[in-house]
Amino acid sequence: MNKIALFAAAAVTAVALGSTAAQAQNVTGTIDLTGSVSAKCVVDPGNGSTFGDTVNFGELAQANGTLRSGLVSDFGTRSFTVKCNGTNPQISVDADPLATAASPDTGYDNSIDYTASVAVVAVGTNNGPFINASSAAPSALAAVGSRLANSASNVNITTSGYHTNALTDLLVASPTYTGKITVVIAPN
Amino acid sequence: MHRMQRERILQMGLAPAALAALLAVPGAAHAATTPITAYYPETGVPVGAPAQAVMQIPVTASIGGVCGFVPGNAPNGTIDAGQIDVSGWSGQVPFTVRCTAPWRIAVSSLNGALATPGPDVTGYTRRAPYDVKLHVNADGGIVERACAVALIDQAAGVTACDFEGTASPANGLLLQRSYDLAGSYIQASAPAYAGSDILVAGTYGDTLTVSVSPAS
Repeated sequence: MNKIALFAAAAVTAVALGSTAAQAQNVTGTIDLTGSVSAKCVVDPGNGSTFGDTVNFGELAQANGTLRSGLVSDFGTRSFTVKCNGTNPQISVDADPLATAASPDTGYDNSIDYTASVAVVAVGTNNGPFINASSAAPSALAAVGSRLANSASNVNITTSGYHTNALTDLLVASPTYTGKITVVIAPN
Repeated sequence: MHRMQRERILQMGLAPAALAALLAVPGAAHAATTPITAYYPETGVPVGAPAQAVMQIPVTASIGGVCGFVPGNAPNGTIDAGQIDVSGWSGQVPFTVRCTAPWRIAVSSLNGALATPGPDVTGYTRRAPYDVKLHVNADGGIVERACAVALIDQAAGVTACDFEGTASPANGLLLQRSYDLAGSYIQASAPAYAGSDILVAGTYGDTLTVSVSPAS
């Protein structure tokens, strides 16, 4: 009698253990994935590295030979879209005067100076606009202060203060006066 | 033979049959422990006492499915996606299972994307999507299923992905037996990121956990 009871208890235990072992078989493996995104700035559309535009002012002198007015509005605002994925991009501006190679005599000028201004749209702190006078050395890279906004036309370039060395200077005749504004936007 | 001796012999004689049944039927074990006493027909036997002991013990048995990865062949590894905004990427991690019966496999993602930590900024993102594919060699042939990783995010809740989450007898992609069959793998892949939001610069990562379980 007692032996039967003991056998029964042992049998129940063995069956229960077998069942538990079968249900506890969940096993796992682990896969780690890594990737990277380097800091960069690209021009939209096209994801290129350069943007640009051409402004043709036409006749620069007024009837009396001195610099005409209206160049600021002729230039207007030149807008571009630049996408940077860094936290605090940097910007430098280098404005070169509108100039021609013809040498000027006294009372003449072969160069028109101006000031270029680059304003950006940022998501937070905005240290702009970033300015450079064509008569000065290029500005150094300066931090925007926060990310550039991921929006169209987030870089806007304007000009101001067109002038010759003297207000009465006559612009030397030349078929071509050329100038350039170079804006560098660096990821950071 | 003394009556008590004969009673004991009858009681002991039940032991082998009862034990055989008890090994297979745990539920009936306790009922069988109640002693049954039968009596030889002779004088002094209590009125109405049984002359035999009849026991009906149903016997059923099953073998529980065993399921796991072959030692050294679990899907453990690292996939380097490289510069995820520059070019597409793909990586596979092989595995081999030993599952003696129908089984289930499931995958969960820590982030639901390749992600980098930091605050959210409008117009930018810290999460790059990718796809997860299971390619399993089981009895009956190759089974393939693919889901966007967002569908197996640990925080995603119930989704349409049939291998989402942690494998259990009732959860995960149901598969036929697979025992030491080579050729199974899990794959993660994505084209170069081309979303409208800008991926912020940084190091991106995710962890996939692959689990298997016997199916119920």
